[in-house]
Amino acid sequence: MYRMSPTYYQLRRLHFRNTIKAWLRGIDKALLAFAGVLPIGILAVLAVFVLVQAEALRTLLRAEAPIEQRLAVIVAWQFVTFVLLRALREAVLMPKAQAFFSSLPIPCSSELQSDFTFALQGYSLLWAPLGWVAYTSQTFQAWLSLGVLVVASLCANLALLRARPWHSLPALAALLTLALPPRLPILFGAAAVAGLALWRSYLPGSVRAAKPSRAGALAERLSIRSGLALPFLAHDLRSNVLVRLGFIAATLAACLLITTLRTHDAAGTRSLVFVGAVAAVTLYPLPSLWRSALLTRLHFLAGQADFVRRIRPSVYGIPALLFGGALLVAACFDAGESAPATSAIFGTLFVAGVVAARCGVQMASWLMPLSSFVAVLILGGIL
Amino acid sequence: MPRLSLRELVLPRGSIDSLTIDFGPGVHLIVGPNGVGKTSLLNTIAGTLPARTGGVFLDDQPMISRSAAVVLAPNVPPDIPWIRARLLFDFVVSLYPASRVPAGEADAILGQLNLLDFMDQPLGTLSAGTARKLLLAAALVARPQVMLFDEPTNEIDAASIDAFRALIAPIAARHVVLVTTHHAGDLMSLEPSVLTLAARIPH
Repeated sequence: MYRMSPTYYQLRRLHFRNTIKAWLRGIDKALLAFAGVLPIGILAVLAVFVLVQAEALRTLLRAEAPIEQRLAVIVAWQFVTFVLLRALREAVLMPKAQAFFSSLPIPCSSELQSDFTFALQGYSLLWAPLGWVAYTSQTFQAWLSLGVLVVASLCANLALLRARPWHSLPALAALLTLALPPRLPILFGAAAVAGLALWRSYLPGSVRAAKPSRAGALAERLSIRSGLALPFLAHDLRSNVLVRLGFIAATLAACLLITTLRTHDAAGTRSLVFVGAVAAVTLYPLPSLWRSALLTRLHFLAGQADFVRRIRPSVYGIPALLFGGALLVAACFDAGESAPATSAIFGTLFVAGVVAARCGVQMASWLMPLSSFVAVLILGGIL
Repeated sequence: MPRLSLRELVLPRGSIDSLTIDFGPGVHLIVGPNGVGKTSLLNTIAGTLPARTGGVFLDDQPMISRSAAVVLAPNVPPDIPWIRARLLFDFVVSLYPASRVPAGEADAILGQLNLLDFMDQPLGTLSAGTARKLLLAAALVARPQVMLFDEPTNEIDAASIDAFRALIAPIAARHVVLVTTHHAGDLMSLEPSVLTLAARIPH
């Protein structure tokens, strides 16, 4: 008996933690800079997020609420949770190692338990509005309604994310029944149907081999012309890029929120300054990360001048476009008068960061957030 | 005729120290114990691993300026399981526009290595042998002047080894073909030269 051998659940927990850590690697400094620049903004965004979610969930608990409103809440919840779990798929479901683990005699109940637990952990901030509504409602039926919403939605999400779309249909149907005024038999029935469908999707032989999908001729030509950089972005760097864009979007949202709240004076918020700083800090390592990942994975071609030449436009061009796009959007809402100068300063900072990361200058990891922070203090008129 | 020259080559890994040798057209086997630097030598010739000192030259020009004249079929397939076999194959071959063989001949090579049925599958679903054959086929179709094969006969079935031998034999007359292997017997019918790398004797 191997007393020290880990269980399947422990392995999954280790994978969950390590994957989340790996995703946040390199973004931690951006997070610190973000928190340093916008401490009140973050609090405001979180508060609004929790309040809006809680108010929406409360609609679901009111028997007199119109069915369209209830339906809208359910669809919104399903959308938000699916996008969240889709982004966390590698951490929550460990799909890359499934081929190996499915060859081992692991009970499907262990797999279901792990998937379920880590998906619920992945909800993270969504628990705040749920907990708030449950605490303030104080009725069994309210708790049951919220519980069934979470369970049915999770069953649908797990079935969809594990490529078992047919098994998600009963759970989705069960989810829709929650739009009806809450009654105990409906709630229990919905939970039972969703749970049973999910359990069946975990039983052996529940899925057949899918036909390999084939991209169009144009997409394949584009992939080859880009030195496989584009398909690599779509498959391996997607989550990383989405997290970075999420920071930029959150900064812009916080700026807009602060502008809305500042009704007592005519001054607007320098959204270009804040967004420019966050965009520069979050996007500058992307070209270097993307390039080195490609050259490492396709190491046997790394000496090919044509390969290195082909990846260059995508690896440098797309992050530059994202940076430019972020500045452009922020400029639309900017209240300052020196938008070109601000854009030029953060543009220079971004380019300097890209060059430093490409040359392997370790100092860039702290110098970039610091420079951006100082630029925000000066350009934002905070000093 | 191409001539590949290694001049006082010292590698960052393995035991190769001040290696000077010329390779002309033909098959050249590189043998030696594990860790001696066979794979590192191929990587350095392909330009993926910088030498500590010394240089690699093709027809007296630095290899770094002739990267389109060398192809490496690695011993481990790339870690990109989602990529379709055909896309990876087409991509590798597209890097050698001047030397690659016509499409009809490429299909014949894929057929000889029994790969045609696997070309629409993702790399991650292929067996280790099939994935390795895909990279061998890409190198054979790209066909630059210098072709490097890192342990090409490992994990490959006997029929495919025969096919590989049959495909290499006519090419070797006009190309420099370097093969690292622990199974020299598989390729002795090609009448190769053999370079034996020895491990350093510890003092």
